[in-house]
Amino acid sequence: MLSYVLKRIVGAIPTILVVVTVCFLMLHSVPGGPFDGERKVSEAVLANLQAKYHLDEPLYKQYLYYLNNLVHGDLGASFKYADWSVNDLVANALPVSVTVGGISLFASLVIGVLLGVIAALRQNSVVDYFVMFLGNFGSAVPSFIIGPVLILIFCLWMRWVPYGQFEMSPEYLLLPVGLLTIINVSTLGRVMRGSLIEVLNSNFIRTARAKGLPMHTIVIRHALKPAMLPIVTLLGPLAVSSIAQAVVTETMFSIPGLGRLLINGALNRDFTLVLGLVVLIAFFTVLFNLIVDIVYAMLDPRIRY
Amino acid sequence: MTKKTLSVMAASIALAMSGHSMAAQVPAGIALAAKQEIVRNIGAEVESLDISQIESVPANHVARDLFEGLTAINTAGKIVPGVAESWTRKDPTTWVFKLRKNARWSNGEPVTANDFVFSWQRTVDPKTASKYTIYFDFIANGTAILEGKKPVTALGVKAIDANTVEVKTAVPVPFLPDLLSNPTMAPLNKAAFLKAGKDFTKPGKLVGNGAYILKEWVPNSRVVLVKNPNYWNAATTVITKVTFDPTESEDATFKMYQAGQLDWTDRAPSGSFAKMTRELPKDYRVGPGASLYFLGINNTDPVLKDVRIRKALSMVLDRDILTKKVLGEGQLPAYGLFVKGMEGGKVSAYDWSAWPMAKRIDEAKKLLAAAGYGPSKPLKFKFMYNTTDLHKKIAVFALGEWKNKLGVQASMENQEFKVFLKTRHDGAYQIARNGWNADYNDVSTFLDLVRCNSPQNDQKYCNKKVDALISQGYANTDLAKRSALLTDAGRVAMEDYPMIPLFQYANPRLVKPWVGGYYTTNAFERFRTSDLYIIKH
Repeated sequence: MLSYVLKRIVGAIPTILVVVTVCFLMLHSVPGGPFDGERKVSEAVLANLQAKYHLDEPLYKQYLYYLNNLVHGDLGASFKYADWSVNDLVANALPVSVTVGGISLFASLVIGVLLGVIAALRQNSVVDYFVMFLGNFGSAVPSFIIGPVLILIFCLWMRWVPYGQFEMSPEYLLLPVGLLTIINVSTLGRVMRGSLIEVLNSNFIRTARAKGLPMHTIVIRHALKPAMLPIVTLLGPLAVSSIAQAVVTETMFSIPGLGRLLINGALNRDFTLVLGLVVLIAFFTVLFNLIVDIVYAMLDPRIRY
Repeated sequence: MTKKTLSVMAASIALAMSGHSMAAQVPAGIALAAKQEIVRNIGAEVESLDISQIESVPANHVARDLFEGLTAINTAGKIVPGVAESWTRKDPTTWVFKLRKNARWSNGEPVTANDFVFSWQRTVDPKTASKYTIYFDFIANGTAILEGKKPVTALGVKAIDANTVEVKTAVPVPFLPDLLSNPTMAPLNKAAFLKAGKDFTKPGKLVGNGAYILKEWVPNSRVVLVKNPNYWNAATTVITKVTFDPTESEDATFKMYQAGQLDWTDRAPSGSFAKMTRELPKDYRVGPGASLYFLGINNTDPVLKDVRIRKALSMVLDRDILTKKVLGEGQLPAYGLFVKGMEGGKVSAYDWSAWPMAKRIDEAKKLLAAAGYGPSKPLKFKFMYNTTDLHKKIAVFALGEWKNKLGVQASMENQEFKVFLKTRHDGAYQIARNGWNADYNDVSTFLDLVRCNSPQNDQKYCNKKVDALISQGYANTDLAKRSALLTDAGRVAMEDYPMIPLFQYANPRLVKPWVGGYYTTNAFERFRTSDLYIIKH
């Protein structure tokens, strides 16, 4: 297992390199530069700025310069936010995003699996219809509709929780985490229901039933593990999107997280900031996929590394 | 104007101002709240708190509380003494500023003339790579230093003694005190700056001379400042803590305002005039902005280089309907290059602006016909704008007007902001939305739009006569003559129809009724927290 993990980590390096290279080239080919504004800077000022950020050098040199910094753990200076390095900005935003995304992911996993199991066991009952409705609702109604409704009810009408001036405390976390959870639960719940129904109809469950095992034992000891496989597959991309790409939620609740940083970076043509965040997202993707693969082996005895 | 007249004038200005100290002036009978704290939305994250790097309006809002220049601006938008308690204009290009002896840095050290020299030389140094350097184009040798042609020591600023700064300008600049009120022109504490290095602008390290000290800065979340006890006017500074919120979304800030988390929004939700005046009449404040919305025309375009076409297109756009019905937030119709409230020149308007619309349409049709366009050969061009609701609304309005009134077949294309800016700067357009925010209170800021080869002249317009009038105006030390020449320059340029002015912006925002000292007359929006106070509520 250890050699497999090491192999995967080494294998991730070329993946990240390809991502960085493609992203680097794409950023430099987009029209409009980091120093374009309504007020055009003079030629002299532009030359000074380009010299400061090495943008006056050939593209391959800029690329090598960036890679060299990256290898040394330096994501470079932000073009837009002059007082912060990309490392600083990421260090500020990462804990916030991990907290909001992490809690919501955990909550949606617990709730989604629970609802999925109940719905699967009570097929075509009221509970099932409710879970299916919730699943379809969460998928069909986008977060930028659900979010403002939550804000309206809980912040402006009931005044139960504060809105804006985000802080890392429960009252501020409740709604954004809730919103992300609703979105994730709708996906996880539906998948869990379908997966469990499929497993419950398989031959080994039929055998277990024939042996006279009680239903809860069948579900907990035999059905749940294989039914969880699609959930685990989903968790990888869901974790990345909840942590690093929760742009709508972060914008809506003024959360200083990674998603907003990425969007603002792209709009400002803050090349180093965007590249830094892409590296981080690529790293997360590789990491979560690795975790998913390890968990597979734990859930499915047929999988061995 | 003789030297003597100038000196007398400047001395009298300084004398008149000496009685007006900065900081909050609470009217008699107003009871103050026990908690003097304010939360203000500034609409975007600050790009820096380093005065040589700041350029955006939000960053200037924060920096204005952390640093103070030789002069300052009060909440009504008037220039008042800052670190300098008085100043004189020795000759048309030489100014002498006397620093107040009790001006202190937040670390208790005195603010000296050398702090100004160091700060300005640093900003103008090509190695610093400052983005916002336009003020230094007015200081002697500023442009040459930025271009790397002269050393920073050649800059027209000198410490005569610890409390006297002499400033030499490149041309006569009657609005120099206005320029110097901007944080970009504030002093810098050299020792503290060198000691802290790249972390100079971080809480605990930043040494400023403004009314507030940096307490906390979380990017994309908040900048918190607290009262600076060493500020020379701390005794009359009322508000003890100010939090700047960078939330961009108008919708989110409106909800935050409703939820009681903000005392001041950067902008009220677009198109909400009727709702706001009905539901929040005391909070909704609209004042004119020192900025112009116009449609830029590429004057070198094969079709639009014909002035008759440009004139016809401008004539038929009904600015009254646009400002009152389509936008309806207090914007003012514009028919000239300058906006109301600016010093140094008068607002001009086309004579046809007073005509009935039917007459304007008739005249425009004749102009188009003379240029070879009519029902059998409709005029066609592309209108470009960057993707926002406001610009789209205006694009639809303009295209509708042109189609209905003149049968023009224009198409629309929108682009992402930075792509759009490049397209426009490169002149790869026919007609594109444009706008100009005055950098300082003098009409010369708008003349940059029409000067030949100016970097801001996206219209690629050039008229040597206009340039000559501008040069004569800049060289003139008689304020009345200067104003007449610059007014003429603006008027003559607009007779060539290089662009289509549409309206003067308004600044609609929500401010809680208990925020004292807020004025809608401050078109430049250069509010300082030290001038404000919280009324008991």
